[in-house]
Amino acid sequence: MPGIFLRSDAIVVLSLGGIIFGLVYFAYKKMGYIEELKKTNSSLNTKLSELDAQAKIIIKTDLELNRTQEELDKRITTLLALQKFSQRLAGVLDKDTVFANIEESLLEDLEFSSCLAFLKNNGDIEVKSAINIRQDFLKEDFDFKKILDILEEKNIIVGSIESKHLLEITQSIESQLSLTSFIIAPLKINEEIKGALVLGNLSKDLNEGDKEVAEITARQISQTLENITMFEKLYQSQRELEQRIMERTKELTNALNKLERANKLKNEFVSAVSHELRTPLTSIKGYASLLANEKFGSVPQKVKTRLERINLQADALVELINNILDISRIESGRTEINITKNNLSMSLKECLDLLTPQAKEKNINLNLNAPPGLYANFDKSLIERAIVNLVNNAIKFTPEGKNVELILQDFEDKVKILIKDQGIGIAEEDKENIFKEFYRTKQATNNNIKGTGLGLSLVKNIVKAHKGTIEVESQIGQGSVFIITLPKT
Amino acid sequence: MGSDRNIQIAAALSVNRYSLEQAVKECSVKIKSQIKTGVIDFCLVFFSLPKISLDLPGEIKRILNPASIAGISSPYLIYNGEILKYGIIIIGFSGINPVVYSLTNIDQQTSAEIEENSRKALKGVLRHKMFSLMLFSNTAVNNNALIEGSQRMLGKSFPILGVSAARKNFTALQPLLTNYQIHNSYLLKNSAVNAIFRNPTIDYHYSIRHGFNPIGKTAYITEKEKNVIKTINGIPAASFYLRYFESNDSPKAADLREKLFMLYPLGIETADSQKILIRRPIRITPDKSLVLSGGIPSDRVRIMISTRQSLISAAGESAETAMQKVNNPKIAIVFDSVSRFKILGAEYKKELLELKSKLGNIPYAGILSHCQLALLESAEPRGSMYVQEHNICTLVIGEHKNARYFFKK
Ligand SMILES: Nc1ncnc2c1ncn2[C@@H]1O[C@H](COP(=O)(O)OP(=O)(O)OP(=O)(O)O)[C@@H](O)[C@H]1O
Ligand SMILES: [Mg+2]
Repeated sequence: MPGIFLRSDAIVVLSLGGIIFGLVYFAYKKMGYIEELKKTNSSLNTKLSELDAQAKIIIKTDLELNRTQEELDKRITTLLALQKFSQRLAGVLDKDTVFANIEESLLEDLEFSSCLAFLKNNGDIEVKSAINIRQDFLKEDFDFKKILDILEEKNIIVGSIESKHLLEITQSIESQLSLTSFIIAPLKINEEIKGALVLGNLSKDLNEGDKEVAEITARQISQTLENITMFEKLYQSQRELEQRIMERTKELTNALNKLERANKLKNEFVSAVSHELRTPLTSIKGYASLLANEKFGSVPQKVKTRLERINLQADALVELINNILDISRIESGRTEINITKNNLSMSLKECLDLLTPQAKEKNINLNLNAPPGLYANFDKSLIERAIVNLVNNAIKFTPEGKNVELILQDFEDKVKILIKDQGIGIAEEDKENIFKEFYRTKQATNNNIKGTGLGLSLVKNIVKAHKGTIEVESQIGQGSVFIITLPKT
Repeated sequence: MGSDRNIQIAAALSVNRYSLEQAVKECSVKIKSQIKTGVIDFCLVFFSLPKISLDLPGEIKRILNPASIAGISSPYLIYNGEILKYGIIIIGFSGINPVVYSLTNIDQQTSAEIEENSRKALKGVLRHKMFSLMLFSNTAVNNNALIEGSQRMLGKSFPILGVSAARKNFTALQPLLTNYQIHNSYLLKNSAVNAIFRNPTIDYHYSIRHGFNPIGKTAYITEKEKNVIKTINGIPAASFYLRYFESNDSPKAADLREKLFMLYPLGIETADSQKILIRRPIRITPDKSLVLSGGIPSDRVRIMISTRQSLISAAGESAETAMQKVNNPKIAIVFDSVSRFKILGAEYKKELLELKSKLGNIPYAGILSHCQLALLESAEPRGSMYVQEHNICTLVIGEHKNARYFFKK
C-alpha cells in the first residue's frame, strides 16, 4: 500500500510538482515577459524623456532665435520710424510743428507709450508735447527744472522705479507722470540745454537700444530746433534789412518827388516871372532909347550916358531872362528841337567867327581844329548856342595872351567837340555843380569875372536834348577842357 | 427678394480719420461704382477709429441704404495687402441678403438664455440657411455659452464662422480694449452680431489654419474645470508648462510668460484626435492652474511651436483651400490673429503677399482678431465647432455655378 500510497503519493507529489513546476515555470516565463515589457517600457520612457529634453533644447533655441528676430524687427521699425520722423522734420520752420510731429504712432514704432517734451522760455517752462501723460498732474508742482539740472550733469537719464540713485526724480516721475520706466534726453540748441524729452513706458524694461533711440530722437529734435533758431535769426536780420531798405527807398522817392515838384514849380515860376519881367523891360528899353534919341526933347550928355547904360543893362536883363526861359523850356521839353543833318564843321566855324572880336580884345588866340565838311544830326541853332556859350566861357575865364582851341573829332557813331582853354581852371568839387543854375565857382567870383551862372546849365540841357553828354576835365590854374559828345544819328 | 438678382460684391476702404461722413461717402462712391444696380442689400463693416462715434451705423444706413448691416471694430484692419490701424472698411453685397440679429450682454448669459434670445430674435426657424458670420465682443471669449446656445438654436453642425476683435496690447496688464459691434443702425458693446447667409445663389468655402506643430511628448490633463487646466500628468499645470522654459522668477517673469504663452501655446487634441486646437493660456492662478480662453475638448495636451515660415504657409493653405472650392469667387474675408501678427513681426507683409498670391485678383478684407470660431474641416460628415486662437481663417464667397437657374422665376 505504501507503494500505492507512495505511488499515489508520488503521483500527488509528481502532479503537485508538475503543477508547481508548471506554475513556477509559467510564473518564471511570465516574469520574464513582464521584465521584458518593463524593459521596453522603460526604454520607451527614456526615449520619450529624451524627446522632451530635445523639446526643451529646441524651445530654448527657438526662444533665442525669436529674441534676435524681434530685436532685428525692432531695429528695422525704429530705423524706419526715425527716418520718417527726420524726413517730416526736414521742412519744418516753426517750433510747434516740430513737436506736433511727435505722434502716438511714432512712439509706438519707437516702442514707447508716452512722451513729454518741454522747453525753457524766458525762465518759464513750456510743455510742447504730452502724449499719454496725465495732464492734471502736470499742472501741479512737477519739477521740470530739477530734470534740467540733472541733465546738465548726466546728459541722459535712464530710470525705472528700481533705479535708486535717481530716487527723487524717479518718484516724482512715477507719481506725477505715472510712468514706470523712462528715458530723459536733453533738447539742446547750440550746445545749451533748452529743454528735455521724456520718453516713457508703462511696463517695459528699457535697454541700450531704447536709450539710443531716445538720444537720436532728442538729437533730431534739437537739430531741427537749432535750424529753426538760425533761420529765425537770419529771417529777422533779413527782415530788418528789408525794412531799412524800404524806409530808405521811401525817403528817397519822397525826396525825389519833392525835388521834381520843386523843379516843376521852379520852371513854372521862372517862365511866369520871366514873361512878367520881359514886357516891362521891353518898354523900359523902348523909353530909354526914345529918351536917349531926344524924341522927347534934348537930353544932357550925362543923362544920355546913363540912358545908354540903362539900355545896356536892360539888354543884359533880357538876355538873362531869355536864358532862364530857354533853360526851363528845354528842361521841361517845351522847346521843340529840330534835329536835321547839318555841317558841324561849318557851325563851329561860324561860332568862332562870332567870338573872334571878343577874343581879339583879350589878345587870345582862337583856333579851330576840325575836319572840313563833317555832317551830323543836330539842332543847328541850339548847338551853336551851346558852343558859343562854351567858347565864351573859355575866353572869359582865360587870362590875356593865352590860347583857346576848338576841336572837332569824328568817330564811327559819334562826334566829340572839345573846347580847350588855358584859363583859371575848375576845382574837382565844382565839376558837377557848375552845370547847375546860378552856380559860379570861387575862382570866378574872386577874380571878379562877370556872369550869372546860367550858361552851362543851358548847354547841359541842349546836349541832353540831343541825347549827348558833356564832361569837363580841368586843373586849377592850368586850364579846362569841355567835351561834348553827340551821337551821330 | 435679393436672390432674384445677380450677386455683386464690392469692398472699399477709407482712411479719413477726421470726418466720419466723408469716410463713409468715400466708401460709398467706390462701392456704387462697382455695384451697377446701385441696390445694396447688406453691408459688412470692419472699422478702427481714433474716437468711436455713435453715428457710424446711421451714416452707413443713410448713405448706402442697405437692408441690413453687421460690423465689428478692431484695432487692426486688413485690406488688400495692408494692415491698418485706422480706417473703415465697408463690403457691400448686392443679391445677398443675410438675416442679421444681435445678442447683447453676452458675458452674462447662460447657454439657455442665448438659445432663447436667438430664437426670439430670429422669430422662428429659417428654412434655408447656409452658414453664418458671427462678430462678437471679446467679453464673451471665456464664455462657452454663446457658442453652445447658438449651436442649440442653429444646429450642432451648422457652420458658424466667428470672430472676436483683437485686444490692442497683448499684455495681461492692460485691460481689454472696448470692442464695438454694429447691428443695422445700432452701435453695440458686449454683444454678438450674427449674419446668417441663406441665398442658394451663393457659393462659399472657408478654411482655418494655424501653422503650429506639437513638440515634446503628449501629456495628459489629470484635472480640469471648464476652461481651467488644474493638473497635467499629476502636477500643477503651470509647473508642467514652465518646466519647458527654465523660467526663473526675475521681475521680467510676467512679461516673459506672456511671450511664452504666445510663442508656445498649448495644443489640445480634439475629441476625435483629428486636429490639435491652439489654446493660449491667459493666466496662471495662485494654485498654478492654467486658465485658457476656450473649452478643453480632450485630455491630450501638447506644447506647440511655430516658425515664421510655417505661419506664412498656413495662411497660404487657408486661402488656397477656400479658393479652390468656390465657383466664381468674388471676395475673401480674412480673420487673421494678432498673435500671428506679433510673432511674424516685420515679416507680416510676407503673409499678406502669400494671401494675395493665393487669392489672385479678388479683394480681401478683414481684421486681426483675438479668437476665431469655426467648424473644423473634418472627414466626418459633421465637424465640431471650437473657439480657436492663433489661427487664420479665410472665407471666400462666390457665385454658385447653377446660380443662373435660380434667377429664373
Ligand atoms: N572855361 C572855364 N574855366 C573856368 N571856369 C569856368 C569855365 N567855364 C565855366 N566856369 C565856371 O563855371 C561857372 C558857371 O559857368 P556859366 O557859363 O554857367 O556861368 P557864367 O559864365 O559865370 O555866367 P553866364 O554864362 O550865365 O554869363 C562859371 O561862373 C565859372 O565859375
Ligand atoms: Mg558862361
